[in-house]
Amino acid sequence: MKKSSWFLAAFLTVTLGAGTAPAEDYPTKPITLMTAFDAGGGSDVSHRLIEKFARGVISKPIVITYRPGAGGEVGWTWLVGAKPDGYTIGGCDLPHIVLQPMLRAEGQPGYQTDQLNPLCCLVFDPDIVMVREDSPFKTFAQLIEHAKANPGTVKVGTVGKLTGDHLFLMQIEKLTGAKFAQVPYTGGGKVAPALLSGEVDCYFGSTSNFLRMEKARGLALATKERYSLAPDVPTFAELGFPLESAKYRGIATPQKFPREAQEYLEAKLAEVCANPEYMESVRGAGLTPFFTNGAEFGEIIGREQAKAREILKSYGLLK
Amino acid sequence: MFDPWFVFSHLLDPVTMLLMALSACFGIIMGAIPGLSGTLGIALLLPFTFGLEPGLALLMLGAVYCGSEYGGSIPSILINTPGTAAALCTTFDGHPMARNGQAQKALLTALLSSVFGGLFGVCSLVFLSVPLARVAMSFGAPEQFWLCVFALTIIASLSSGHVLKGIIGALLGLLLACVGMDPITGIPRFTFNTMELMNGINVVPALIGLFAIPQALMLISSGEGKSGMAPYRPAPGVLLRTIKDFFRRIWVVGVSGMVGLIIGIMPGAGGNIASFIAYNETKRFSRHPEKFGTGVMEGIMAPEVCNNAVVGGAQIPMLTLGIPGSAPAAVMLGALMTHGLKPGFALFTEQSNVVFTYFIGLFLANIMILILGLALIRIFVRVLQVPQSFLFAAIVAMSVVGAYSINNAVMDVLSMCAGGLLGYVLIRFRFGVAPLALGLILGTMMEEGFKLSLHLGAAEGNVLLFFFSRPQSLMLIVLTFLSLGYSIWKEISAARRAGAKGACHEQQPQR
Repeated sequence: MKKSSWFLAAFLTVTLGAGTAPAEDYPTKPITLMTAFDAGGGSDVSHRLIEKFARGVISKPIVITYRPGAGGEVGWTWLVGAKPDGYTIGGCDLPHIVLQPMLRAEGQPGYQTDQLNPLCCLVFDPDIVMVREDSPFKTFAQLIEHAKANPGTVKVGTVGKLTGDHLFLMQIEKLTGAKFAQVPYTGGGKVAPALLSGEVDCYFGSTSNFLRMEKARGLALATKERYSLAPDVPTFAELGFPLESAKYRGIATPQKFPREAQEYLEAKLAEVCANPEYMESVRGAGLTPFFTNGAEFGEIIGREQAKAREILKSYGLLK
Repeated sequence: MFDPWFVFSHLLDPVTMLLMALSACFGIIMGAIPGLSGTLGIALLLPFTFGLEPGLALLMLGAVYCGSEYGGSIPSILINTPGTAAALCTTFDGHPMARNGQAQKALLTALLSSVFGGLFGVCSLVFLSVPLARVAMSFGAPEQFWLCVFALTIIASLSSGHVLKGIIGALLGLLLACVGMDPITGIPRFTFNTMELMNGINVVPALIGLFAIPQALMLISSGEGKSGMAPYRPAPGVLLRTIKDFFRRIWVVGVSGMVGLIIGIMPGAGGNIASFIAYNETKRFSRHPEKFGTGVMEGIMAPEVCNNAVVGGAQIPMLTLGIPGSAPAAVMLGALMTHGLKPGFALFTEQSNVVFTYFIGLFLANIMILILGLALIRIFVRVLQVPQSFLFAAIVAMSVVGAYSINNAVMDVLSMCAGGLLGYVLIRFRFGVAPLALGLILGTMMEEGFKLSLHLGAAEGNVLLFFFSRPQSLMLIVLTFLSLGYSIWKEISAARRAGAKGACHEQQPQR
């Protein structure tokens, strides 16, 4: 009896100590990083790499939680409604987060782009036009020529309708005057076999998917200069089309996020992203490390929003 | 280069063995808890493998995958609730066997089948990866649609005697699968302007509800004494007898293994559909198909061999082409890249040590599951010794927790409850829940295949021709008709035989 009371006393003292310990500096508990897509996708890989390399840099672990569904919409709506206590952050992708609120059906609830407070940008993934290795189209010019001669018969695989890939397709159509038949697949993992088996003639999509695939050939890449991960693929600029199109992946938080937490995470994530080993792993996954702070990421979001609005308006999809 | 000494010295290291055994055990538990799955298990374990070298890390995740496919069969047999969607068909014969007092034999059959199925899949992965990778690409959108149509013909055998009710159930399932965003255009349907329904009805909680809740309700309504559940008695020598019976039916491993392998390779299909088809094919080839559903060994062997063969099949296109064949394989692909490995044929030559460590490790993992399973079955069967009133409460509690833990969403708990009520009504009016579950599982995939084919056909100029002209599609269409024709012929001949017998009985008294 006596012995156990001693234990109890000691235990209570310790818990008391824990309870009254001075308010530690942020962070005092693990930070939840929400992924708006299924485990195993491109977003998941970039978040897992942050989780892996943040160990030892950020004093508390980063814990990944999945809120997949509806192309990310479920997760981002969850994120803007999360408690802004500094311990919930979420990955967000561009142009998804500008397109979804813009095109949402009337009456359907969901997040708004400006409800997401940008924390940092992590990676950059430009868009590319790809065909399979033995495709008759050897150059982008041949593809366009054929598409112009046979409007609406060249099948183009994209991920989804009214998505980043679709915007890329619309821009190509506008610049070249060609007309394609869009086949919207539900994910990169579905377009890849369709391209390789010849079900579609080409795939207008992300370079990360291109780099992951065997037996595919890039015809044109939408960066300003040659892209270091696919240096053999000519840029649109070289081919005479002023086209830059890419996806960005970053981290956002709910609004009214504590400033102390924002500053801490910005600084620490900058440190994580400067780790050469991290950068090598990101490149290995087919992405380019592209760290910016929250303010700059906000500018990128604004720029993409204006661009998307303009394209959609020119197609009459937006008033 | 491939260095056998390196690989084996690594694999036979006690720490490696221990980590593998723990992972396999973790996988079995993840599979055995309804709602938790191998996909989640792999995702949860991934951060713990960061510090390890890639071969061992992959191996741990692979062991979880294998273990979870086996684990799903345990609640299917004991409480008629599939632990994973792929173990759904295991309930058809597994639970009746348990009710007949053969729980131990049923569990042993599931274990042996899982291990043999797993080994079948791994063998194919090791020896046939490169040639079979092409199979992944020969199935396009129209084949995806026709495969679902073919799978729907299974209703006929799931609901023999009540085909019309089976069709109604399946159509209801397909209708429920339409809730949520259109898979192609993203337009919300039947969502009543709520965020919760945007993503559609989550299949796994709905399945838990459909199977577990009616089971629990029946446990209480059956009352004391006449529960219909035979008390569990440990039977000496059951292991040897099960092994003997298992090898007498070894042909099931071939049939179901092939089905699992091929459907596993196809991108996006996975074990859920494969096990339905394997069950149906085994029943068709069986000499006593009428006994299926009453508790025959083949009925457990088929789905369990199949969903474990999928493990190997789904990883073939994942490793060679970077295209995952199932949901857990997609997470494995993510893990592969987090560890700095790039999928592709080059992986087999450039990283051959990693790849062969993984392959040989998967063999060992399956053997470990056998040993672990033999030890664990003794504990699992004790579920049947729990008094019914407690078991009822436990099933309901587990269903709620399981449904909630998938996405931490209350919506999933609600769909579980709704599924439960619906399931109870369906069973009361003799519709059965299996056709509805089949419709729910197939819905999204079928719709996706159909709509993509419409897009592709429109670009080709003739939609009808596109649906009916591809050789792979034609093969599936022929199979569908054969399957339908066979079922109809059997129903008719059964009715005629019954009619003839009836006529004899009527005439006899007159003489």
